[in-house]
Amino acid sequence: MTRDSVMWLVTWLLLVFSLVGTVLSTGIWAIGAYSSNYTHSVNGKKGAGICGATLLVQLILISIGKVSIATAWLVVIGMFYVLRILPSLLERGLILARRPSRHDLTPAAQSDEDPPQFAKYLLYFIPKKDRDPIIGDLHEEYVPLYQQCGKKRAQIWYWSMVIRSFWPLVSTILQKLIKWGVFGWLGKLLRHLIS
Amino acid sequence: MADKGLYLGEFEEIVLLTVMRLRTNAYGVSIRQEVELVAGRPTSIGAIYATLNRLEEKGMVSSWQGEKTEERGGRAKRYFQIEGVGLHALNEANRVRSALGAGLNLGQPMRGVL
Repeated sequence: MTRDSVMWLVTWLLLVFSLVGTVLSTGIWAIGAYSSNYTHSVNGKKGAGICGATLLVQLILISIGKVSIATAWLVVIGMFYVLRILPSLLERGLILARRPSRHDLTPAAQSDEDPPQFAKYLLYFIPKKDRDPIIGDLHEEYVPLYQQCGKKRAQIWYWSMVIRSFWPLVSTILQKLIKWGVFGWLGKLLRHLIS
Repeated sequence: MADKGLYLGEFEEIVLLTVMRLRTNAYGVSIRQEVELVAGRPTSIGAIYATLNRLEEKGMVSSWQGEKTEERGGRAKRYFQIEGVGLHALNEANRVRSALGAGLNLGQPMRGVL
């Protein structure tokens, strides 16, 4: 078996896996979204993104006749990083850059019983999956505390909860980034060994 | 030999048991308050969610989104429920603890050890 035929075989196998992965993940994503199931929705979305990107890159490379596994996988790893990190960075950037509208600053929109806005903005740095439920949970506990103990004590409680909650959630992302950084390095090493 | 994926940390075990205790009402606030009340351990909501995410990745719990309500500032609750793997992990942890503690008098320190 020649080197070229091995490369073709591996490339087509990867193509089939990517296609199956994309179809399955999209199905899981759709089921998750339909039944409001976080686990299915988030994992399906992630899988569909990764498999879809892999499929796209492989199709492009096959169509232009550049069937080099090493090149393909380097592009895939790069796209994986871009797909994972760029949207969340853009989203967070837009949230931080967004100036409060006139509607937000009117007394009706900004009630006195609302939690401190800046502390709430800090929560936009935590993963999207946890953001809404956590902001809601803190709001649910803040309002009765405000009514019972007053504004100052409620605000101190809210700030302490945000600060204490920040590290456990952000450290999870950092651990994952470090883990994927190691995989990226291994990918480079593999490319070096193949070429 | 126990499956490596079934190992539970102490806090993971507490959170998993709390989710099981709360049945259909297990979400962030109720879990945090129950942990504080029963375990007597002040906990942040972030620590609860980080642990629940880890348990979800291991397949021990699953979650779904509830209705958006006014009392939560228009945000939805995220409910959790224990899965078969989680139940198995709790039983395994319980079994190991019982096996190791069998025949020991935990009320008295053992001579020569402590």
